[in-house]
Amino acid sequence: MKELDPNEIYRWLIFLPSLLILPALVLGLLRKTKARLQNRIGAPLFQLLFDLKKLSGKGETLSDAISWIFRSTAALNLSMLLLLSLVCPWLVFKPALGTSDLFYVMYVFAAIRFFTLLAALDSASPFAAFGASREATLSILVEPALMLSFAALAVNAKSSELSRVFEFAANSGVEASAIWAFAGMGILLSSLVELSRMPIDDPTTHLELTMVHEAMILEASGRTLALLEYGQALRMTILFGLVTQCFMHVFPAVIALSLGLKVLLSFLGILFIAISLGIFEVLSVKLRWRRNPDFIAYALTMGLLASLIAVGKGLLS
Amino acid sequence: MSSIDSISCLTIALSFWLIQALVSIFAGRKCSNKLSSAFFLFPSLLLCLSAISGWNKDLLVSAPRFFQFGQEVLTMHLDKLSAVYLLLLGLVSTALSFFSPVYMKHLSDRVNSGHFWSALALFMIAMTMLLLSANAVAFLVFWELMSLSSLALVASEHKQRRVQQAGIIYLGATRIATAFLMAGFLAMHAFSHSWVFSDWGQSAFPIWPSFLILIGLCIKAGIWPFHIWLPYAHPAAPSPVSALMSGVMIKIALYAVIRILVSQNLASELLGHVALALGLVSSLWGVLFALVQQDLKKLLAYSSVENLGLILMAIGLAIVAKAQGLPEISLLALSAAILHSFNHGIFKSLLFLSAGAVDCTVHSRDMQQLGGLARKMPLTMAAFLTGAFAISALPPLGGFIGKWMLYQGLLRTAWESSSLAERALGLTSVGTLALVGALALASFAKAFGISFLGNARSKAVAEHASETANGMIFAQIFLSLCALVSGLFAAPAAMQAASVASRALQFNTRTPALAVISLLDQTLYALLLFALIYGVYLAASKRKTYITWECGFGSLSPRCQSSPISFAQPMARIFSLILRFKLLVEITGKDRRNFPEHIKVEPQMVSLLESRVYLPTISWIQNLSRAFAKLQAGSIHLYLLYVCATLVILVLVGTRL
Repeated sequence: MKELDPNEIYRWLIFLPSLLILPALVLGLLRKTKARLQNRIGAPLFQLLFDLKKLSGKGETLSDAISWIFRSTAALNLSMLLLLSLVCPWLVFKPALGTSDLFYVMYVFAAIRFFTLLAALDSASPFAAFGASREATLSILVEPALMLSFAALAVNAKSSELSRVFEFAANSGVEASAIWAFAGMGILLSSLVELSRMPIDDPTTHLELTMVHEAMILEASGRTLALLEYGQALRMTILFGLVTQCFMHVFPAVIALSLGLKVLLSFLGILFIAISLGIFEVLSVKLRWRRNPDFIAYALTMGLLASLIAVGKGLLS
Repeated sequence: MSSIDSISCLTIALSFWLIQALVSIFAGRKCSNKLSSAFFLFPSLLLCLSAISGWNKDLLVSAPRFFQFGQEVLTMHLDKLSAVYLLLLGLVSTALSFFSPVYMKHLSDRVNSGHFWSALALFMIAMTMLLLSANAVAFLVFWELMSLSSLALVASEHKQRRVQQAGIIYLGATRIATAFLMAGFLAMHAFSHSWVFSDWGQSAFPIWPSFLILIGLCIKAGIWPFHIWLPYAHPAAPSPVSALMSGVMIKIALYAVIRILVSQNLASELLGHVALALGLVSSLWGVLFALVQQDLKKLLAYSSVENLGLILMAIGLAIVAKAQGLPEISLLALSAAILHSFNHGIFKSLLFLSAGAVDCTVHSRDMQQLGGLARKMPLTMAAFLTGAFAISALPPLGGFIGKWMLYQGLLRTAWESSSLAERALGLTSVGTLALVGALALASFAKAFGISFLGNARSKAVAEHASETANGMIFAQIFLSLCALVSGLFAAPAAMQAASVASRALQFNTRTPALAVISLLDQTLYALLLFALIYGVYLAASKRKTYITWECGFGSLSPRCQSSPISFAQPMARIFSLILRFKLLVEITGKDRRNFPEHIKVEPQMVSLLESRVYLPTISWIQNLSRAFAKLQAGSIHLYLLYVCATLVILVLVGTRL
């Protein structure tokens, strides 16, 4: 048994509570911002936690068409998300666990999607199946954008190990900052699609305009729904965390950041993105389904720009 | 074990198959399936054994002079590269010997079992010997045996028109492939004066013979644009045959690319680029067509096009990287090709067997008729799920590691290569591979979700479906376990693949340095978390069962569920440039807009290459032949005129020269 590093204990002490609080806070802030801008008081900030408690107490109503796939998907996906939360460098000062290879992370996200699609088809509900079909469509469009953004970062760091990619390099040049900015933008836009938020999908309406993620989990109830809700909030937090890290890496070209500042910024950044997304969701409208590829094209353009700079970087200097 | 062992194992296995081929053909319909499969199992196990015992050897054995092709003695060469493929062949054929008897019983009124087993044994002999051939003449002989025996197997149900058509298309493809290959080999012989592959590496060649060989092998491997025979041959063939053809045979064609072109240094950088491009196009093309298929086996066939594309891409990258002096990338890419060949062979056979089990039980492969099999056939469902999970390259199963290595290779060109174009190509390929991966995931989520989950879409499934016989189940579980093991122990497997690749690339290092991620610990963590969440939290909830929510319209008919076409339609629309996919809607009735009496919706898929390239070419050739046929008028006067004219021309030419 190797000796425990006190730093490691601090990491876990900060990390574990934030795993529970941060997703609730992100979702709460987003909803609160929307409510306030629409002149509503809105639900409390930690409504997600109350919802989870309520759902945990409820019984489940299961469809008679389902198999074990549906019953285990929620738990399986949440366990994969928790694994990702340990593996992805979405917070500074986070305990690390094993490999965080870029392609591995991408394919674990894909595995989560795979099971979500299957669970949707398992319930024999046409509505859920349409959600699954749309989710698959969005994923094929957004996957190249997300992959290119991350790959550009990997090329910049000359490694596909994300924990190394997201390390703060001592003297990064202007090109590096540009790569980080474009890639961050690409990941942000892609994560809006991945999370089926506005302008791709409106998760707050019922049936009329909500077509992707909420449609897929229509048959879930009780504790299964609780796991899915928390999982979605956690996925959102991890993705926003990665975006925040990207934007934080733009700074070292201008000013040096101390560790305390980095930790603070990585938390505040996530919350900032949540609030800005709330404002954006109030101001924008949901796109028509057929216009979605146009929106995703922006994400892809960001990824391509980041890649272009990354590819040329070593050659010019 | 001594080195003799693996060769004697092989000899025994081959003679067993030879005996089986001879006996079965005379037994005809009386041939017992159970007895044949027991007889088939033994050499299959021997094949696995010889591959394992011959792993670290490099054996070059000449057969007695009795086995001679022209002036060339039959020489067998067993090294690590062929051992990998022998092991794959052995594993798949072991699974087949459990699967086939039950499956053949289901076909007993349509297929002559004696012919089937005889052709299968010949097919096995051909593939085994192809892997071992060390010279071009033996290679061609067994190549032909492989083509013809597999043709006989594809055409097992030869009384059906659909099968006849598939057989003709497959036959045409194999003829063209052999023609290219033969031309390439003849050219090689003309330049090097030897039929032995290892001599070819020592002489200088112009560039074109290697291209002829590449094209010949690509036709067999089903690489774009030569892939059109796959979606015809696989649905027509019995499932065990599809498993063997898609799992092993087409991979042997790419094995030959490694064996002949890569390891003899015959591949130029240009060839590498062409292979890379062909691979990229066929992976995208294959998966796009897989997405819109409605027939389970056609979907699997197109997915083979995709995966073979990935393998060819990896081989191409290996060639390019080697030519540019980037040995590490080259090693990564070739290991990816070898590892992915093996893994894909395992799980694609598994998928074909599961599809066969479904076909056998409900007599349909049309996804529109399936659904709800999860509760009726739980083990088949688990096997298909394993296959679908693996082929979507999701960690921790076997499909992931090969793709990971290919990704790594491409990504590293983006900073290690010295030319901007090469770097950009690497990174663009990473993006395209991501697209291919997402499409593959969508197609297999569709294939599995529509066929196995939800409610039964037809009466046959709802009433008659039940778990298949033990033999079929066992074969599927066996291959599922293989896929699981090869995935969980990906790191040591990758190391072995790297040592194979390093020899094939003629690098001197015996133990190449290759950092491979290990998935074992993280898989365990995830499973532990899952057990915890499920056991403590989810399992404790109170449950009641009710119908699927139907908006209060009254219960849903199973046909309301998403169909395979409607699931893929939004994606097909986006790629409408390649996928000529149309929904023909026909509304009839008096006031047909508002009060339709009949609404008919029919999906229509036109294959771009076939309708725009192949059919016009074929009709052009037919017209040309028709014009030439007029020469043969059947009149003796005319023929005398031809003889006379020829004589005059010959005399004229002879005197002038």
